[in-house]
Amino acid sequence: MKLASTRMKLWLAGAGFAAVAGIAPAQAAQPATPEMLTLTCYACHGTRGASAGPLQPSIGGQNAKYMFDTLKRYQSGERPSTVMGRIMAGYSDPEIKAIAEQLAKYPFVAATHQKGVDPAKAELGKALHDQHCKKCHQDNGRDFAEGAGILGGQWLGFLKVVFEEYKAGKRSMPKEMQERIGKVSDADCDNLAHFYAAQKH
Amino acid sequence: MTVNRRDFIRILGAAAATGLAGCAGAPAVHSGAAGDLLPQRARRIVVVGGGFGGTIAAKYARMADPSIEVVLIDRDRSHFSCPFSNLHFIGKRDIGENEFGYSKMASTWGVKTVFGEVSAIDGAARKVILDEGFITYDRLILSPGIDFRFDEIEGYDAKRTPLAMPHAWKAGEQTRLLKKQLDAMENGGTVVMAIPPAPYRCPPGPYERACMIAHYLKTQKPKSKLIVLDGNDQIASKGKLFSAAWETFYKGIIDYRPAHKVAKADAQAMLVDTGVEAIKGQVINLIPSQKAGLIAAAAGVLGDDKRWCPVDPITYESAKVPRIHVIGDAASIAPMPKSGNAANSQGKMCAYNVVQLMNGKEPMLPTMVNVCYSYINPEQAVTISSVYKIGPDGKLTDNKTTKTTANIDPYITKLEAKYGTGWITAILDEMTS
Repeated sequence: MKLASTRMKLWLAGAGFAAVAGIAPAQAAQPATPEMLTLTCYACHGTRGASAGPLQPSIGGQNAKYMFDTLKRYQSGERPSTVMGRIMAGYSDPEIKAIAEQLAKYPFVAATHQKGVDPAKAELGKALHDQHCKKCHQDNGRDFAEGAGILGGQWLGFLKVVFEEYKAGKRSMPKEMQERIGKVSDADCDNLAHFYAAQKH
Repeated sequence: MTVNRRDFIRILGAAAATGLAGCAGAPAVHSGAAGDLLPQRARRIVVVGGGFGGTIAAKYARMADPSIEVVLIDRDRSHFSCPFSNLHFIGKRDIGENEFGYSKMASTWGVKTVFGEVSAIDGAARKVILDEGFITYDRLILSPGIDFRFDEIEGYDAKRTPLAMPHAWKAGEQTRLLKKQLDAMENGGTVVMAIPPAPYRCPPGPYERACMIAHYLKTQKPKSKLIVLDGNDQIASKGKLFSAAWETFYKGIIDYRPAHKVAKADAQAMLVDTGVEAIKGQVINLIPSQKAGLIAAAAGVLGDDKRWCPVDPITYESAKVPRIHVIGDAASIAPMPKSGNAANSQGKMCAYNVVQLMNGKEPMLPTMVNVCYSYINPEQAVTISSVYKIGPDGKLTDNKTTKTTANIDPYITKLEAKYGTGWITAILDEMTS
């Protein structure tokens, strides 16, 4: 990986450093490893990206390309957010790539213990999934084919917000999905959210 | 005093059940106050202070290098999160939900936990001195939080005044006490809140609290008022957002008075005095000026200001005492605020770089994130967020990433409030799992 292998040393000028820290000797530092760079994500998204929920999605084990694209969409504002867009403004493309690849190394941990999942709604959601979604969100949304994120086993609170944003036209999506989600009612989007949240891994 | 075997087991508490086997064999039992409580058989990091910074530093040091022993020392077996404690005042989140302990820290990560009062730190001998004996270290991470500068307020008695005029700036019993006082107050009573001059723990916290108390008064005691005496010249954080919230939701309830520093308190008469006027309140939330937790002074790591601890922004190593690293509210590391999320980020970066140094490697350039949620009513919240890195000049910078919620538009602030409940769930889980 470019970031990790480029051992570009930052030599801190003695004078400037002393003004901040009061430590006279110049100190060398190397770029952070992707592992270290990714640690700050865990305060909201859980250790190694296994979220404690209920609103923040699990990000460990997601496809690296999907994660990179998603983080870039937050950065550009193409995908709406509260804090994510603002936070991503602080990261360079190589850093975002390093984070996406690091997270992909960890397992996706399904939210199997979450509260509030309604089995009846999940059952209704299954038929909708089979009809509209399974082509791209394969294996009941547990796979990430076609550049999609893992939905199966994701947190219900997060899925609900995402569906609301899709329905309100606030969140960009592929044309194919736009056509399909247009045919699904708000209540059925809720059923789909329960279906994905109910998936075990 | 004599430390016998039973005392020793008591001191080690939960660690005795879970982690002591990692010490290889039965620990030696010493007698006399100078006894070595945990004879060192491996390289060791000691973390003092189990709050937002210390728990995370301990856990992530183990993650970075499990061959290094990590001992977490705290006075108490549990703490209460200050973030999200203000929701207690409107009954939205009981302060009991903010309590966290350390049992999984030991079982999952092999962190040894020791519960005892640290009385001194000998940086030269690399020893943490407890009442019962000492614990040695190769490197020490101090995350002592804050203590109060009671002597800044004339008439303030460290024991009695907080019972009459709770600060509630260390969450737990103080939070409950302030809520009880609000509940007991008659409709029409005046609440006074006094904010200390910056820097203090959680810059937006007092203004969020003003929103919560004002909401409580609006819905429960509509004849009452809240007078906010601010020791700062203006709202110290999220100013435009709080001003808009007060104007929109709490007009006629909050009487905000900037540049009003409380100089004197009379707990018997329930009066606070700014030097210009004395103000009486039925309930007074007096938040004194702050400094690094008392252990920092005992360790000799305070800066020339005698309040906060200057540190290297890459390794958090103290500018005063080698091999002692200071994180969290106690550290002087502008432009980062004194917040729970900042301490969380610092704990991780510090832990990884302490491990680098112990392994004879160069430290790595840290990246820290801060996200801070403030509720403006039960359903709406605003945030401030930043990403911090070391700039080309070696100084810590936010690279102009510091941004707040744009305005108090209901759609976005309701979403922020939802994600806020996720944030507190997540960050407490990360500290305890």
